[in-house]
Amino acid sequence: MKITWLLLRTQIINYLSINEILQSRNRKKSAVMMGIGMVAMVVFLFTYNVLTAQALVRMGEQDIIPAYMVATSSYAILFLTMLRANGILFGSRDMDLLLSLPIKPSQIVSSKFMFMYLLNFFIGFIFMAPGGIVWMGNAPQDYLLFLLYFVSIFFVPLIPMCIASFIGLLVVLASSRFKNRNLFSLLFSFAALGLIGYIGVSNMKSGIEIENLGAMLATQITGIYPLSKLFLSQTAFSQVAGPFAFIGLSVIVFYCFMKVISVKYSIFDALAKTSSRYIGNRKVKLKQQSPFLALYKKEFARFLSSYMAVLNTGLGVILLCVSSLLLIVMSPEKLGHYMNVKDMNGFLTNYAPIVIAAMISLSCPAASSLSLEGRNIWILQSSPVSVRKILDSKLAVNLTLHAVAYLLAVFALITRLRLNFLQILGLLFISIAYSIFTSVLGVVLNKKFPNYAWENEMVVVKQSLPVIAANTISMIAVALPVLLHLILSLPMIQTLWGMAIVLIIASTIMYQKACKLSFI
Amino acid sequence: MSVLNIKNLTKVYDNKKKAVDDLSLSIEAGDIMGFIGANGAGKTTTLKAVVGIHGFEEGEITIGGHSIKKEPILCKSMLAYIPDNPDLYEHLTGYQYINFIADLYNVSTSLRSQALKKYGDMFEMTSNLTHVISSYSHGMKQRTAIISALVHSPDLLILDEPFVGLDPKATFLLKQVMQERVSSGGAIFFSTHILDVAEKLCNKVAIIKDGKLIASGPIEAVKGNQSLEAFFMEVQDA
Repeated sequence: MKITWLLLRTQIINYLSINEILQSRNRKKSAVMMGIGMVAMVVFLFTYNVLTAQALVRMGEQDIIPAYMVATSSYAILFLTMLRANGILFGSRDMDLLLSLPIKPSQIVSSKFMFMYLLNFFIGFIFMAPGGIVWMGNAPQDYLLFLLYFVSIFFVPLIPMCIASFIGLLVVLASSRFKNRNLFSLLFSFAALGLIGYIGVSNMKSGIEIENLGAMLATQITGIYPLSKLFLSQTAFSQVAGPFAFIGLSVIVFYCFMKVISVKYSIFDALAKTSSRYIGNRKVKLKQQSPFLALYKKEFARFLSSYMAVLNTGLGVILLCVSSLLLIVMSPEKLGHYMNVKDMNGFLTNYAPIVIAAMISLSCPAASSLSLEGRNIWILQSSPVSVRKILDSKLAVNLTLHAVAYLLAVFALITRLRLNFLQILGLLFISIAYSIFTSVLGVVLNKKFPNYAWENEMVVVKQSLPVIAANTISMIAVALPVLLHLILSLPMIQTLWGMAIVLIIASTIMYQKACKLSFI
Repeated sequence: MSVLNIKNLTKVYDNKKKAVDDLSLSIEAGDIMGFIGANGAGKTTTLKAVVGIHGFEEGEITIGGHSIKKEPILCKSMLAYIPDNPDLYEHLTGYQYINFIADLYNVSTSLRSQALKKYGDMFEMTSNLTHVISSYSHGMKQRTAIISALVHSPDLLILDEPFVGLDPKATFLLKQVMQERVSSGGAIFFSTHILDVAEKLCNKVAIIKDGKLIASGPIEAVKGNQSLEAFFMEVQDA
């Protein structure tokens, strides 16, 4: 246990760059900004969950709150862990060092799992604590039940973590058999994410035909996460036995999973780190090309070579591509039926630019592109290329990625909907403005707050300040015109055009300022 | 005109520590200057400032008469740098990496082909260059970095501990290449802990201690009648 704790402590210090934050002025600044961003997100989620729980109370369904919170937090943990399980558990740079030390694989696995547990505990806490507080104020005073609910917050992440890690492991094992391992890892991961999303949505719809509101909600909640049934009073167990069984089951599943993983850990890790055989043994044609093209090609290859980067930053683009393909093969009405949107035709006619913008804004590889250079940064720093050219190559990759989804979406929308000239114009230009803004914002933030000293690329791809800030600001830019339209009744299309102009001006200023710097 | 001229260089890190303090030296065409100092003395910081990896608070660095601060692109196009630990793009093959570097330096197709043939064969890397760099050993990465540094025939080679990780044959070949470069008008500035190599290879030497240059100039003038090792130990313990 002492060694596991030591490994965990080292991982936390390394992962959160605590020493650098304490010692470097620049890092302190970025840590403060990141702290503000995190606090804002926590406050937002906390408030959202309080409001959800209060809504259930108003419906007279306060007994459902514990099960609801367990189900939603477990689902969120499952989804988010799938995006990072492989990055934390397998393939990190410190593994060669750790495996050479006189420590058991089980201790390494335990420390990695505990680290992942810590990250997920906060997600569970943000969902369950506010819900629990509202529930306590509106339910019969059963202190043992309250206590069990709050204790179960510590156990909620365990099973979703195991399921997500198991799926991650399957992805590692299945893709290792293919020549182009990375591509298949991504395909399998997206397929798994899609499957989980589909199961969640279809189970949410499964109870709609039930007339009793309580029964309908209970069916939907347990459909998302069957174990949440143990927190429903309708269960066959007594009220107290349910949470006890949940805690027990979580511990048993987690323990067994850890034991199994520990036995073959080094093999799984080696598989995760195996590079694709497909890209080896290829002789390139020695042909001179421009420095920009060389940087662009290198950047694209780097992006595609990173399973973590594609999985996490490509999600919005993939989502837009899939939605566009669905719109091409089925009518808007049918798609609306599946997605539970009554007037899909009207919705898309009015909101298409903002829908595209929202999905595009989720994909911002530029926000981690500089940090991803990592220890290779010396190559760019010592090369005779300007900062502008380096930033351009990173922007170009981001814009290319957006362009693929954008073109598909525009084609689907123009062929499927009857849009007038102004609507087509809005569809074409507003989305482009958002794409440019997201990309420029990402690369500028990464230029301002780079992190080249990472051991695991997940640190910069998923949890770095530029990535979080770029996503948050982009989402605010998407939400602002919608809120102005809804709250102040401003005309939607004009508001979007105004926003697009503001974004283009902001992008130009940020870009020009970043390009003036002499050092990358 | 000096190929490299460092004047009163001072570099201060975030923690206020002066990593390099008022350092001045110059290297002419045909010089091989060894840069010697204990770990943490300021060698790598100086080399990184020379190649434009990081800025500096005071002083001036010129390469071929051009300031690295004012004309970084021009200066960088005249030099090549190999760090102590060659972290290359692991997802590229050796060929792709060298081709990428050649593109950044605008090297013509025929010149890069010639350089690849010459140095690929010399360092026995030709057959390995089709493999991804992630499969290379440390020495192979070092050799790939050397080939990529030579592909644009730089006027100034900056090498940080270039012999670490190289096998005896590659070490011999690198020394040969270094002499070849200076005999054709180039200059080399490299850090090393191997004093025997410095003594045999260099015509000039610079010794740094706690960020300050304590001796520099023609090797015979610096060390006098004693060996370089004896001189270094003497000034180090002083």
